[in-house]
Amino acid sequence: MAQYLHLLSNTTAPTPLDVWTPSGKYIKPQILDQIAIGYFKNAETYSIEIEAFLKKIKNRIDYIDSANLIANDAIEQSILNGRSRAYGLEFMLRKSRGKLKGWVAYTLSKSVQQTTGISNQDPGINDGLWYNTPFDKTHDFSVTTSYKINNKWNLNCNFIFQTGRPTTYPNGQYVYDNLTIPLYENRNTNRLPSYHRLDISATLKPQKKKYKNWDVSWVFGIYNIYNRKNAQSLSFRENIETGANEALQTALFGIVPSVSYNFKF
Amino acid sequence: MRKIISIVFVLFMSCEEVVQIDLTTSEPRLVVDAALNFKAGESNEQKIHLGLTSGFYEENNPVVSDATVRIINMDNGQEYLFFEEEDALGTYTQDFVAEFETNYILQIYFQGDLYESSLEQLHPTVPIDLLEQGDNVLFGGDETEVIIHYTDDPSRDDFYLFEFGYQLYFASKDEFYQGNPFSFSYFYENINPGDLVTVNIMGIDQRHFDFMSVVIEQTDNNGNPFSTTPSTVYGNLYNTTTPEKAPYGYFRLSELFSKSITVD
Repeated sequence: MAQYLHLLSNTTAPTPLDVWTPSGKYIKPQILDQIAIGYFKNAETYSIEIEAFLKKIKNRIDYIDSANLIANDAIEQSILNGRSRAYGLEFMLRKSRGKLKGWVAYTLSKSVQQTTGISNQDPGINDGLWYNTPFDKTHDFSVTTSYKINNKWNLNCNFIFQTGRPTTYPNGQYVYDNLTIPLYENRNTNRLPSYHRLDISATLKPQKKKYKNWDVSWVFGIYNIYNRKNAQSLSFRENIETGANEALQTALFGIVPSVSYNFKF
Repeated sequence: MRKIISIVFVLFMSCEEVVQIDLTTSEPRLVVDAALNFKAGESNEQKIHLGLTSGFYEENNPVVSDATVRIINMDNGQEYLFFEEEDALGTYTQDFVAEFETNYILQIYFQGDLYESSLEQLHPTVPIDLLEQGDNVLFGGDETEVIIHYTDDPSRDDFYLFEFGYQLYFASKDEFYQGNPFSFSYFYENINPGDLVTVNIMGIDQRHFDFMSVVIEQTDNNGNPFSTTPSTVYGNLYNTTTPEKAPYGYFRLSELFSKSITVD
């Protein structure tokens, strides 16, 4: 498979910034080879899926250290060509009949890339060694269930656990010209804290139909019920008052109650 | 055809909080703080500070004592040995005046390793023509505007480093104002009427411009929301004995002009 759009993703900034750039004179299209072996079994109520995959990607680009991607006309000067590979095992168990329905899914995977420099003086990113891609998630586990109490009420519940995304932390500091300057580890060496949350919701389908052809339902839900502050990004700064360095975590969505009204016609 | 319309009410919440993240600490390395500025009419005494890197959360950085520090004029071989101050360990001083269009290197011998800078020259600059207070403000509404006017030299490609005090810096190049008078505004926060504001203009080269641009961005508290993954920046110093233990910091020679105004 070939793809002519390249994503330069940035997981460190407080705003998750994605820059897309097309292939052209300086940027070759990404070429992907993929091998997958799977086992699928469908029974009366249960079905099971197991699949192993291996992907190899050529011409995977990444930006150079200290690159500036915004409003950059000559983005090819800020990127290096590399390669990437991903492999993993996917497992899924599904129950599709009865009062209790749902599935359990688990993926164990690894996604790494290598970006070498253009000369001996320029060793590339992380000295030309393999490093985690910004999307690498070792464990990805989810449970989705739905329980039918009666014809009116339906209960839904889902739980997600994911290994934190790779990121880059500082590992030291020094002083030059009165400025306190941080030192950083190699790109994507560290990880954000693990991501997990539990959501529940109840769906009400009123039996009385005001309008014949309308199919209406109310959904009352609570997202992230135990109010886990999942890190969207971590940044590091010098506290202006104390002068000491500190880590600042940005989290989106603590506990979120929601009510929705759906109608089909 | 069936259409589905869904109306969703949610409360959006996002928050930032200070968290405790355990960080590793890299092996301590030599830090060379050798930003030498030359201002006409000032004392010829120059200071070089040596230290070590420390953990990210540490409050103080260790100093380096008992190093041998010298600047060598590579054109005539003259050496200037810097001596450590007895009451300020890690600070090395000597009377030294750099000359234009002369090649210098900084050489440091410390714990069996010899460190050297690349060839550096004294970079000229232009004086500040005028420093004046403006009455514009930014989003906060309580900033103090100071306008800096200067005239670029048409005979060369200039790179400028401005220092505004309070550990605030700005790097500029004359790409878009070659040979022309230029001015820009700088907005100070937390400054009171009666305070004396001093702005320094220093001559630097392209390499130091790139170095300082990255450093200024990494130390800027407001942060650039679109910045890319940060990485460690190296200056113009090398460890000739053990190249993989490269030092941090920079050796620079800059001509400096300055101007002050009292804010009202």
